[in-house]
Amino acid sequence: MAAILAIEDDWTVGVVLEHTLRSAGHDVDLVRGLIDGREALTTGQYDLVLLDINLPDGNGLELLRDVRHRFGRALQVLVLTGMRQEESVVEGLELGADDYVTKPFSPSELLARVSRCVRS
Amino acid sequence: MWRRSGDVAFALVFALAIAIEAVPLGYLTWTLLGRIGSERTDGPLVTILVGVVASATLALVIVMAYVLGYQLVSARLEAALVERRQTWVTRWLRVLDGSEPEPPAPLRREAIEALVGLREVLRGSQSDRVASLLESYGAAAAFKRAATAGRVPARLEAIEALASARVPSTLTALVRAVNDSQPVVRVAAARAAARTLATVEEPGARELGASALARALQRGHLPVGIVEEVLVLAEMAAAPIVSDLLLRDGVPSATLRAALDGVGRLQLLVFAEEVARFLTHPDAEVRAAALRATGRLGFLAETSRSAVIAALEAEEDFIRIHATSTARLLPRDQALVTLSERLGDRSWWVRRAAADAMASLGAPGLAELGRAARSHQDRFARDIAEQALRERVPALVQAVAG
Amino acid sequence: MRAVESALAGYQVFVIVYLAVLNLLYAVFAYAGLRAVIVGSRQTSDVELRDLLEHDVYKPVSILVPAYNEEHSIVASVGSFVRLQYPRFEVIVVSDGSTDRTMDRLIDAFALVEEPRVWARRLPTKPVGRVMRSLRYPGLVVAEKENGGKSDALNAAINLARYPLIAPVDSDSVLDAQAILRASRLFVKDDAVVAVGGTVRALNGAEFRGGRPVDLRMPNTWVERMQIVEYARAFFLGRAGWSRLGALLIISGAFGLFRREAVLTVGGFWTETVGEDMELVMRLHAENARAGRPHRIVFSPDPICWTEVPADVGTLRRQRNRWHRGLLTNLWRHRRMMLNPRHGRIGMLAMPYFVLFEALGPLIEVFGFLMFTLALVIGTLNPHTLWLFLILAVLHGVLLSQVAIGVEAMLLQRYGRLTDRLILFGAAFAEFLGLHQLLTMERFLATLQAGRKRGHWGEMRRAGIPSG
Repeated sequence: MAAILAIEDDWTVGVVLEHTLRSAGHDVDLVRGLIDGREALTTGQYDLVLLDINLPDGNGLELLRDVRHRFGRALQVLVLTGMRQEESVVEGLELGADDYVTKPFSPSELLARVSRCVRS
Repeated sequence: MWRRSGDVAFALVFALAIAIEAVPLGYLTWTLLGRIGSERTDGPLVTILVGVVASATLALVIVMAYVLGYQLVSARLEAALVERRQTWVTRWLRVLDGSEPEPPAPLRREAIEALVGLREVLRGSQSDRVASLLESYGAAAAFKRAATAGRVPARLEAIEALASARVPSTLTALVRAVNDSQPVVRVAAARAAARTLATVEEPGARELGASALARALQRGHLPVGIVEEVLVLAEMAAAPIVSDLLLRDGVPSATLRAALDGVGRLQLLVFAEEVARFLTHPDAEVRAAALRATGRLGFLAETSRSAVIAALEAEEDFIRIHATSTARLLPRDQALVTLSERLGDRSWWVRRAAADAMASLGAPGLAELGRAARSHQDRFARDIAEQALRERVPALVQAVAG
Repeated sequence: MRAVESALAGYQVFVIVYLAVLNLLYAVFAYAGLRAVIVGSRQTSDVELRDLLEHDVYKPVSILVPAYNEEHSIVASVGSFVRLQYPRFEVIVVSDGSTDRTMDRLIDAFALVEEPRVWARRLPTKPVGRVMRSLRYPGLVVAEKENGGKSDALNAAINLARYPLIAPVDSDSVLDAQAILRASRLFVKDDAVVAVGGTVRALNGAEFRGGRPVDLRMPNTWVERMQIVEYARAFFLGRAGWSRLGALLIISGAFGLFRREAVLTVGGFWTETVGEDMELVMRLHAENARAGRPHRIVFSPDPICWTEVPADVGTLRRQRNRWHRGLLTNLWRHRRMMLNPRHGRIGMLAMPYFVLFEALGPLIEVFGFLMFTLALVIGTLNPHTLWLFLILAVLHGVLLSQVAIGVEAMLLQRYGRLTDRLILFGAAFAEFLGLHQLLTMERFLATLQAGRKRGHWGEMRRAGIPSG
């Protein structure tokens, strides 16, 4: 269905993302940091980016800014954030994220939000 | 950061190497000391030295061989471990989906680790199911056992696993460990207990757990930051824990401070009156924490006003700072007068707090700041008032221009 | 003649016993250090760090960057500092009267604008001129001041800092993304902690990505390789051991985390030493003990800072010369702690050790060498004895180095290639077959120079410039 790029450094979360999304029929590429994420965006074609905010090599919101700059609103971005990080969520939405998912998350909720983003 | 395997083995190898070296070396030193001043024949000395050199070489070879072997083995071992864990995570996800049956007991270590990892990552009914799986496979009980006895590194690992697993049946053991003799165990157990308590949904059980944890915190003499963290991690159980701590007698000052900070941080308005009691506590740090909490709650009872005003003249800088921030909650005119006085305080931080507090009072506050910037008799007060106003210009411009 | 022979014999025995005791002490520390690493590695889990990031139970940190004439590297360095993984922190760069384009480069790269600022000048420093803030990174503050040396620049930065924890760094330090996170954690876990030191590792030879080392490989020269071994020994065994014994005297100037109030209480950095990092730690111990305040200064191997180590012998020698002079200055300044029971283990263990084995070590070794040569010439020493003894000394040194290399192999980010590990083994040997002796000689010369102070002031200004 959709081509998704997941940028997430926690490997358990990564496996869950891959499994959940692939079971629903999406194509998933998983990378573990901002740099790999940037590379993937230049070489690949994606419909949606799942972006963790707390990455070891920088703040995910930086990449969000770049993505909006480069792709405008053509690329859907869903932000992954910790439960109490309301500020990051607000900031993310202001910077142009299409939706957010808080960690810990329920796979069905994730799928629902992804589907909604992909549809629009 | 660190590879988990092989560190204890390495310590043993090193201890062995030291032992191999130390004995001949000790003998050499002893012999030499005994020879001071006497006739020397070098023959026996050379023999001893050869022996020491030989043992040192042996020790060296042992260590090098171990390190080399470790390098070769660990890379492969760990890659295999990671792969097995990933496979298990996927497998568990299918079990949770229902597309695969539950695997038979006993579970391998990677399977349990994968399960604990999933408990961290998932939320909702699937997460609850993971917790019950940990229970039913006996993993929770095994961690509990490992957490209560044995060498400290292993106990810490088990406690950390329980912090992620958050299985309610482990709460009692964790709370008990908060009063362990080892400080590092106490800290780890407090975190784990708080996280576990947060998953207890039934209010009665939650209250009981909170009470037990509060008692343990009181006896455990934990650092302020850890108690604060416990309150944040405990989520819904934070309020009963705070309530318990504030109402008890004989709670150590550090724990009280953390509880008061918790009230402010978590905005537990229901404790506003309780907090006010501590505005006159004998310990200065506790008074400061009470002032800070009052400020954060944004509510100052009439009966507490005198305590705040008294604190504005306190000896200690840090008390005056918090009192100044909280003074903004006094009736408007009184607030402006007292804050204006504080603009000329001897401590820069108090002056800063006064300026910020005045600015937070809206138009009247800004007007007063303007007056102070022009005509306050203290030069430093005029400076800080001007700075505070200047910093707010962008926000004002935006407010006006939209 | 008999008297001379006896004296020589006596000194020989002394040297042998000295070195035996030294090696045994090293071994004890090393073991303590290893234990500290083992326990420590289980104390800060990933879950704990994630909790720290996702809830707000952390203490905000001010990173202090003193800079002098670093136009080529300053933008990259500051860029890596502003991108650390920490919820709330500020970066305060103080240009210590740079005469090159350091300020211009910063202004361009970070969109700096001047901001009139009022701040508490609790520490006396040379006058501070422009204070600028970055439009791009709100937490970045850059100040320019009259030249006064690294300590003075750091003190100015402390004055400008507003968070409860300060992290003085070298301008060319490359901090691991989680370094501040891991270090600040220790302040939360223990109220008595006033300072935390981390591990410093050599970045020479590493492959970089996004400003951080990702793939560790052996650098090209043996001088660099030997320093990798040396740093592993110094941090994983030395500092870890001292920390576990509660007698840590040094926190590296490349990266440390301190409680701002504690540093202000003792008066900030001292401007009359080239070893200002060690001197501050010693003074924190001294003043807190005198005031009867319980305090802890700890080393944690987890927070990691990368730095470029000298690749040529000349620069290395100047660096070690400077370090040794700093050591002597600091030990002399705090001589009242020596064997003073009021200062606990610092006074009774650390000070004597540093005086006897670090400060006087080069003297004893050089004289030992001379005595042995003399004894050989006169004929009172059996050449076999001498050779065996020398071999023994080398083996002891190498053994500890190998243990340190072993600890490094336990890091997730380690020199992964087998050939690199073997080269490290070789470097451990090579160090004691030349470099150690050379640097001992250099430190010996430094001991002689310290009395004369020549070259002292000139060096001071450059302490903080990358020497690679």
